Amino acid sequence: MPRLLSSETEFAQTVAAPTITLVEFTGPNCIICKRLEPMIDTAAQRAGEVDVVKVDASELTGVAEQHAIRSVPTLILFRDGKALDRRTGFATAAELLRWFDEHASAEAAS
Amino acid sequence: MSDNTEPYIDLTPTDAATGDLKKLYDDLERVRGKGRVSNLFKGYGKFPALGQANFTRLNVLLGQGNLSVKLKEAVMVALAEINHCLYCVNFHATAMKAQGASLEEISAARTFDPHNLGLSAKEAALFDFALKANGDPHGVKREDVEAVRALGASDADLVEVLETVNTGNSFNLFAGALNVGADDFLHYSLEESRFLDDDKAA
Repeated sequence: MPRLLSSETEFAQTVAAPTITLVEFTGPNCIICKRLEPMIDTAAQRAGEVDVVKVDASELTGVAEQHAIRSVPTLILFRDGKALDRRTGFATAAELLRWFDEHASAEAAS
Repeated sequence: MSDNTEPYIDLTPTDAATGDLKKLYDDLERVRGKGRVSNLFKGYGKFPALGQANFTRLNVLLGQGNLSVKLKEAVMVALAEINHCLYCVNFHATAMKAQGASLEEISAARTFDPHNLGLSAKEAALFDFALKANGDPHGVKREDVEAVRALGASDADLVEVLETVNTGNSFNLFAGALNVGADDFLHYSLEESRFLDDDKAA
């Protein structure tokens, strides 16, 4: 299960990693987030080198504002503190893996 | 499933069934084999007409249509994982095995992996489509439908796989909320991802 970030400082430190970090912006009463969770867990496990964390957008409002979170779930991939890509709504484990692969391939090519 | 192993309602044993309940149990045994009246249907037996309606629904879903039973059972395994219905994982893993699925293919269904289910490209795509519809039906886009159509899926296939999602979810809800418990004829170990009765057969 992804760890829940509790402060803006922890968020900044986490996404500054040189490897890919997936941040799931979630919120209370988000039913789709609950359905998404097993998909993220499975995809991250299979992808291996993707760190997955969660941010409650209603708690870390500064982070949510900074990244223009308008709905949950929103997923953003970060590396070296930069947002690489984002998507909103539900995704299957297979779709997430393809998404991770695209960015891992881009990373390998750069 | 709760830690409490006792069902929350009384499940009438097969040898105590009479009238409409006996007819339901007899129909189940005729299709599934002697001693294979599942606890889910013993629960439905409290309202035999609903039990019959749901058994008919299941027989139409699994006995008719164009899609393989292996695909439909794989979808039900995945849904059972998502819904934390351990009894249902066990039941549908056993049903996948009966369709010739390997342990690796059953594990692929449990980890939502369409590419290692041993299915055609069309059915693998329909498996993922089913999970997407289950996750957020209103998030399914025309392009998602076009993607499965491009692999040969018909409108009837879409209806069939979505009804598999409906059926799996409704049975998971029923089994979970009434804590009907595992059937004694199921032997799939969730922890070890294998069939314990294979040891005896070996």
